[in-house]
Amino acid sequence: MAVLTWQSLELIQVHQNREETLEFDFDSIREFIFKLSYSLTLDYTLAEDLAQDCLIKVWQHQGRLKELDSAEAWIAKVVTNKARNYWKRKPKWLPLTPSIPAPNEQDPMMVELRTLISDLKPESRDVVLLVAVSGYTYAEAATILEVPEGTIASRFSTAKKQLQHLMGDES
Amino acid sequence: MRDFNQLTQYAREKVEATETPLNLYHRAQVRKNIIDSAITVIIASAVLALSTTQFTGNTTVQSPAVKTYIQQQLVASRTQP
Repeated sequence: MAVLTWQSLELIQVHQNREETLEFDFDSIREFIFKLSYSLTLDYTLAEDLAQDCLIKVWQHQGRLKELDSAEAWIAKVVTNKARNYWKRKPKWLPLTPSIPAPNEQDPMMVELRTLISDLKPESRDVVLLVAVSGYTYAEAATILEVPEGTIASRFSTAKKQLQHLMGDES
Repeated sequence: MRDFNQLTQYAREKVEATETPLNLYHRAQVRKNIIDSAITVIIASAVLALSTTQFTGNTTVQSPAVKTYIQQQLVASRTQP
């Protein structure tokens, strides 16, 4: 996830250093939230819905962001928690025929990965999506999921083996 | 047969290359307004229902203190000559 640096959400940092009322420029975090939502659902349409949910939540808690050490970690936590519920939903659009793709999204490789990952336990799924797709480090994922870094490493390793087994790749 | 790393790498690149919907913020605003409106309607309905129950029904919503006070007043009014 390269939209924002881990260390700071610069806009929020700027506001944190001022005494003025926090006036959020949601456009600047819109992209971060959407891309993380897309990474965590692997479905464009679900990501749109999830990102809207998260924008509303961030909006409602914007005052609290001033008090946080890492606003990005908090926002990522919100997106990750909400994304879990979205795995219970099925993507809204299915292709009528292979030659007529559904609106927005029916990338075969994304569908394949989503199908494989849907077999994982939710806690393992979170780790795979945060680390392998979103690009977070084990330490960052540990902060987001509030578990020890070793647990993240263990879950990732186990999940990766399980997925490789499902894909017939034992290497 | 694709492997795990290929698929996740592909997904990562796909996410990075996908443009964020421009109207996302606007749609979130609309959604928030709908939720706020729904909450307002629910609260208003609850207040209305409570008022109706209090002033038009036989069943009244009263605190114990109010109930005791009314009973005392009734007894007092009946015992007066």
